[in-house]
This record gives sequence, structure tokens and C-alpha cells, in this order.
Amino acid sequence: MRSILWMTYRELSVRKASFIIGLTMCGLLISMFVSIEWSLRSRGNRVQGDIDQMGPGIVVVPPDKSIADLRQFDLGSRYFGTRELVDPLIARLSPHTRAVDVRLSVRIPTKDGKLPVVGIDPARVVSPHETLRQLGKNEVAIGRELGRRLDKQSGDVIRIAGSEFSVKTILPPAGDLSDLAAFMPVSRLQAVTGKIGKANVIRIFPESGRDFAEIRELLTDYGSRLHAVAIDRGEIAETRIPQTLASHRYAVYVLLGVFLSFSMAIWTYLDSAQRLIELATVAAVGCSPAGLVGLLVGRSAVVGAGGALLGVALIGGSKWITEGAFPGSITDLSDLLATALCGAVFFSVAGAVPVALNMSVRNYVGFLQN
Amino acid sequence: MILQLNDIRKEFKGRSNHSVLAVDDVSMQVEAGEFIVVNGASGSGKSTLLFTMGAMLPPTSGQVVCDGTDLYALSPSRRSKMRNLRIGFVFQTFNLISYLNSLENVAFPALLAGSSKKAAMQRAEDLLNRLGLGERLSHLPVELSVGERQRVAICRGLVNAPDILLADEPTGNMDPELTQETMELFRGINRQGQTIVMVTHNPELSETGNRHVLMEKGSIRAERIVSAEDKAL
Ligand SMILES: Nc1ncnc2c1ncn2[C@@H]1O[C@H](COP(=O)(O)OP(=O)(O)OP(=O)(O)O)[C@@H](O)[C@H]1O
Ligand SMILES: [Mg+2]
Repeated sequence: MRSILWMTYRELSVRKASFIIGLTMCGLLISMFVSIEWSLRSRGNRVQGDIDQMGPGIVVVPPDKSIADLRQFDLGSRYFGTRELVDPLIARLSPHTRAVDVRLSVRIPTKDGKLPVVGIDPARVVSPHETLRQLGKNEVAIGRELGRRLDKQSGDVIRIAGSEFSVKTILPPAGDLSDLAAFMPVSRLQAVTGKIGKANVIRIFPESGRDFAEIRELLTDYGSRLHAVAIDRGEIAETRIPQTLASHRYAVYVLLGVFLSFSMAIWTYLDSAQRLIELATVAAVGCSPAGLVGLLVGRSAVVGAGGALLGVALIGGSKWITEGAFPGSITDLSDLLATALCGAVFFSVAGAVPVALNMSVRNYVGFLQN
Repeated sequence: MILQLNDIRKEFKGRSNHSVLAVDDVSMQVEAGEFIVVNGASGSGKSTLLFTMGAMLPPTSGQVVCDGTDLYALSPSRRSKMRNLRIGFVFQTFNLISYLNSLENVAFPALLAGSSKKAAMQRAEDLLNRLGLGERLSHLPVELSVGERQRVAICRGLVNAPDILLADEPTGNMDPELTQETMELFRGINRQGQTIVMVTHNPELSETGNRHVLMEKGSIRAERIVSAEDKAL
């Protein structure tokens, strides 16, 4: 085993041409995989983003409150502290979620009754309303019904809790109490209500494929301090679309994998046919049939791994040059690299094994006899 | 006794219906310390016999017994082990591994046998030094002369201290001068106790060893012990 590894290494360092051919072939296939994967991921992201606009998969409210209370803007007087609960919770959820949207939902007394006001973080909010992401410090977005009652248009000034805000936009009607609510940056709302560092709604958007039980599992440490509720976004959103996306991927990768295996089988065959005498000699000086298989398969595993690195570097590098950055985060990239490596090695080995087995049982003496 | 051949027959079946009886009922014993030279015309079955002795070519019938076991009753991997440990082989075209340097080519069978890298390299270096290749350790085969390649191949055959060294036309590609040098080398190795079987179609070399076997059409036609007086001639 050790001597086989050593041979592979020695061969790599001296016989470069054949390795370069194998590497290039494998690298090109892997770069194809990487670019398909990246475009599928961004498509999946877009679709999942569209689903997320329908609302979160899970909502966390104070322990004694329900979704009905949330809809009534009646969340009582218990809050989550940002530092001791919200931030650690977000950190813990982040590998499993696409987004976490933290809000403060309060009712502020006015002369016309209680005004529901929602503080959102413009940088993190998940909403179909683009304007919420652009809310400035002294701006609010108000529901259609609220605008009508107060006779306010966008651009008008409105007083909330003693401060003046400019109406950035009138939101389209949602058909619920939010039509009567105002939305402003959470930091502003915390300031005007004296609830610094507090929130009471955490909207969680799980990664596609993660179910409620998995997320709830992560929340058990906070058990008594919050109440997590699964929101049914419908079967199409929760299962059918993710499944369709996944099966498309699957089909493409099986095809690519088969192609890679086949190419590596051809490469192994041509390469070993080209040096039959050498393989025969290795067998003649005492390498076992299993050792010969190891030698041939080991080389193709090395080519597979090298090709994966090359393929990821090719596409990553070209994106770097054209777009100035890798698409997606570093974790995405390392995840992709790991997938490419494992896949390339697996399929290269799978392609090489039949050829190697065939080579190992060949009677080599014919090639050695003069 | 090192090796015993019992009634070896080897028939090659062609793709079309013809078949060739390359070795026909050969029995023979190789004793420790012998230097046997097998001679015969081209096509007389010398190489076939040698590869059969070398655990590389299963006979159609008969046994090759080494250390009490029939080589061809062993599993392929046990047989590989026998080839590795008990038998050294020198090919006419040397068949050095092109991407290994002299030292590595010689050390490779020792590494296969499980020696540590250090021990294998040390033994290879000692052998190469002994055969005068101390200056060529890190040369690749393409960087060596024919005679140097031959000596590297011989060192490789000897690295695991085999019971028997088999050589198929080791001087087939050499001029008379280099042929004489190589024969002297084999004789020297044999004098240090190494058992050798060498195959050649060159009748002039028949006196080199201490037993001479003449093959004809797959069978042993004649066999004789070469005396010291013969060599003096
Ligand atoms: N792999 C093979 N398939 C079919 N026939 C073979 C094979 N190897 C050898 N033969 C035949 O067996 C016979 C003996 O061949 P072998 O190579 O043993 O002869 P040789 O004495 O070594 O000859 P030379 O001196 O030319 O090397 C020849 O007629 C040859 O054609
Ligand atoms: Mg021959």
C-alpha cells in the first residue's frame, strides 16, 4: 500500500504529460459542474426568495402568545433581549436558515386609539415590499387603511410617540390588521418607546429542506423564554418546489458523473495501454493484482482530486476576474469544493476500477517476452 | 534444491485454431549455487520455460516446485509474493520503470516486500555501488547507457536476495565486449553464492555457467556439466 502510494507520487512528479491530459479533462468537467451548480443555486435562491415573500416558515413570539395575538398586534409586555437571546439565537440558526427577521411589534396610544407600529431592520427584513428595505431613520411605511383614516399620502408628515416621521410609502392592502399599522426602523421604534435592545417577533426562514422539528430542536435551550410556531406556507412552497429543484440537480449531476466516469475509464485505458510493459514489469517484480488495481485507481483518484481543484479554481477565478468576487459566501465555496472533490474522486475511481480490474488479471507475460 | 520442474508442458492456443507446443515435457532441478545456461535456437521454448520458472506463466500441465510448494497452486497474490521475494528476473530489454531513477528502480521490489524506505534505499545503494553505479544513483533510465541499464536491472533482480536469479537474453542487445563484461558480472555474482538460470540463443555463451542445457523444439536435447577445463578453453 505504502509502496503503491510512493509509486503514484513518483510517477506524478516525472510523467507529467499524461497527468496533465487527465487533469485538464477532469478539470473541464468539474468546471462544468461548478457553473451549473452556481446557476442552479442562484435560481434556487431566487425561487426560495419568492417563497419567503409569502412569509416565514417559523415565527417566534413571547412564551404566552400565539400567532393570533401576533396578527392582533397584541404581544403583551414580555420582550426578547437582543444581546442575551436574539443574537445568540441567530448565530445558532444561521447555518440552517436563509434569513432571520427580528421585529418589535407594539401598540402606541394615540388620541384615536392604539396605533400598531412594527419596527423592522431594513438591512435584514424579508418582505415583498421593497420600500421597507429602504426606510430611512425618520421614515415610515403605513398601511393603506391607516393612510386613508389619517388622510396621509406619501411625503406627508406623521407624528408617532411624539416624533415626526415622513411617510415614505403607502403599502398595498394585505387584508388584515397590518393595513392599519405603521412600519419604521426598529432602532427608531426602540428609541421612541424606550425599549432599547428589545424585540418580540423573530421570523425564521429555514433553508429549503429543513423542517420545523429540526429548527425547534435548535431552540430548546431557550424553551421557556419563547414560543416557536410553524407557519404552513402550503405544500407547493414547502415540499414540491424544493423537490423539483433538487431533482433537476440530481439529474444533471448523475449525467455529469457518468460522463466523468466514462472519460476516466478511457483515460485509464489509454494510459495503461500505452505502458503495458511497465505495468507488466511492476507485476513481474512482485506487485500483487490488488496492488496493480491500487496503482491504476490511485492515479485516477489523484487526477480526480486535482481536476476538482482545477475546475473550481477555473470557474471561481473567472468569476473573480469578471465580477470581482466569488458568488455566494466562503462557506458556499468550501461546501462546493468539498462536493466537487468527493464527486470527482468518486466518479473517477468508479470509472477506473473496471479498467484496472481488467488490467490486473491480464496475462502480462506476452508483453515481456521478446 | 532451489527449484524443481516436473513434466512441464506449455501449449499456446492461437486465436485461429492452430496451437503451438512451446515447452514439451521438461523436467529439471536447479540446485543452490548453480549457474545454468539454457541455449537453443530461436523459437525452441527457452523464454517460455524461463517465464514458467519465474512464476509468471502458468504451464498447461506440470509443476514448478519452490520450497516445497507448487507455484501455480498458489493464489495470484501469493504467487506475486513468491516472485517478489524468491525470484529475481532480468529482462532482455531491462524494463526499467521510466519515471524511477536507478536507486528507486532497484529499491522498488524491496518496498513492495514491505521494507522501510530507508532500508530499501540503503540496500539498493549498496548493490549499485557493488556493480559500479555509485555515480548514477539519481539518473533516470533514459540517462543511462545500455550496459548501465543492464546493471541496474540486475541490481533490481538481486535486491530482495532471491533464491534464484533468472535472466532472459541479458546480452541480446549488446556488443561482444559488453557481453563479455556482463558475463563476468554474472559469474562474479554466482561466485558469491547466487543461483542463476540464464537463457541465451548465443551458443558461444554456453560455457559461461557450470551447467549447460540445450533446448530444441520445446524439449531438452542435451545437458552437461561444464568443467573448469572447458572454461579454460
Ligand atoms: N504468448 C504466446 N502466444 C502464442 N505463441 C507463443 C507465445 N509465446 C511464445 N509462443 C510460441 O512458442 C514458441 C517458443 O517461444 P519462446 O519465446 O519460448 O522461444 P525462444 O526460445 O525464447 O526464442 P527466442 O530465442 O527467439 O527468444 C515459439 O514458436 C513462439 O511462437
Ligand atoms: Mg526468447
